[in-house]
Amino acid sequence: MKKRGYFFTIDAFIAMGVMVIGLMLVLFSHTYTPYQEQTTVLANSNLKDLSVPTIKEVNANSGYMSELNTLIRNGNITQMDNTILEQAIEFCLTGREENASVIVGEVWTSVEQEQYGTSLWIDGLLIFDTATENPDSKFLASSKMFVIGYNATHTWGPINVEVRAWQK
Amino acid sequence: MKGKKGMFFTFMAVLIVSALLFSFAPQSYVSVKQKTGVIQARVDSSNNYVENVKGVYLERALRVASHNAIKSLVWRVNYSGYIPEANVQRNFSELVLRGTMDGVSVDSSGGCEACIAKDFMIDSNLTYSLEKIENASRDFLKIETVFEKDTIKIELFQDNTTGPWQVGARMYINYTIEAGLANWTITRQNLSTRFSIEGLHNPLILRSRTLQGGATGGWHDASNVSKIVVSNLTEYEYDKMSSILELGNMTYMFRYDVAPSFLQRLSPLVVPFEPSECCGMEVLINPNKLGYNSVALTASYGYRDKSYVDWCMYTLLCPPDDPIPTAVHQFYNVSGVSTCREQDNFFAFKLDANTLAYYGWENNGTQNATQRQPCD
Repeated sequence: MKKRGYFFTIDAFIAMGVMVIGLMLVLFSHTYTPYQEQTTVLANSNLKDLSVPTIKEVNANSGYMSELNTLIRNGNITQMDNTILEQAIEFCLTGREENASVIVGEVWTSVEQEQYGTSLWIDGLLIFDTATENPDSKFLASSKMFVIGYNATHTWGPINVEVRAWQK
Repeated sequence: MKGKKGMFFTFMAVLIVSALLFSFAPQSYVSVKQKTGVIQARVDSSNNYVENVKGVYLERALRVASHNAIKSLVWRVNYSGYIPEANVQRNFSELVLRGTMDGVSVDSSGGCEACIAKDFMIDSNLTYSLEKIENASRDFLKIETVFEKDTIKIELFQDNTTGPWQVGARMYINYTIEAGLANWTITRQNLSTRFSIEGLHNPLILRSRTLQGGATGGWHDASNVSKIVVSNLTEYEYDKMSSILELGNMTYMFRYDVAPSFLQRLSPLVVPFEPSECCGMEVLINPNKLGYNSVALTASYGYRDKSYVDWCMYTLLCPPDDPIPTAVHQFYNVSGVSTCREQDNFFAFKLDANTLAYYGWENNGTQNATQRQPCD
């Protein structure tokens, strides 16, 4: 009888050990993959943050000493109904890329996420980024659109715009 | 037997654990679930493009093409005369779509130097803009966009929504968008745009200056004088004499009862004439601004006995030419304004009775109208 008890006890321990090993295999076999959806959504969202609100709307929520307000007061920005993206493109078309970078940075800085990097490319030219993109970046998502603007006599564009987002 | 039972139970335990392992292992549906989010993002992106086409790209292309087409029509009047009313819509539509009029390019490169030669429509007609959109969507977004250019319908209008100071253009267009994952077919999309006429030339004044450009007597060659500048005053403030005259500048005012609209000025204004209820406008002529001196105001030029309102001065719709037998064919100077000195603003200025009453200058206590005293 005692020997049977030994056997059953040892059997129980073996069973428990097998179960523990099995559970450990299940729990720790989860492969870390980057969140593909989040970077795609971030790229789309950041593009909309530039292509939807107008200069007038963003300026209303900015302080008097903000960079955007400074550009308005010194006459660099005159079309208040332009979207941020349209104004950035107009700056690029007139050789004032640094101003484009400033107004984009003003918008994106307020929505920046620490674990993600984003960049804006206008007609293949890097205008602004929140972090340096490197070849080993985890999952990279891109959102594209083109912009057609107009002045009194002509339309300008289409100008290709791309926003990239990646996990750092 | 007992040893075999133990081995059997142990084997069963291992089997159960293995079954648990396999049942919680990652399944293929998880990676598909991840792909679904990306696919949704691509469809959202394509949908954003469709919304941009509907609400932004087409409207801007139409607005610029329409604005330039109106400028082309005005300059056509300047060089070749007024456009028959029945042809205005057709000419406008052709200009907007293809940048041509009666099949001939209005650009100087098209050999039409005598008629337009202003190159307004170069790279701004609608067909060109639509092709740019098609190419950009295909090359950059990998989305196939096809606009049915042969079935596009364009209309020019002025109505209560535009008022006298804007012109509107309406477009009906069909197109398809294929984005691989999703397709859109838009049938007879109706969109309209409006733009200000301020800064455009008044066809009446422009044409009259062209016709009389070779005359002697000190005609000014300031083409900007025919440009439309809208007055700040509303129709309820016309008693503010000094504001209206504004140091001799000619500013345009709303005149709803008898005056033609901007679009009507593209065509001959003859009897019978239907004035624009919504969009009539007029400007009081300052002869000094247009370079009219006493020579120009002689009877041979026909301006001597005319009311100094643009559509009265350059047409036969007002006294003394209008055929209405009961019309009061009298003109009035306005004291404090009208002078007989050639160098003054509003030299020999005079108005007909109806216009005088419209602006409330009959007897306002400060500036009375007096029957015309000839300056000669």
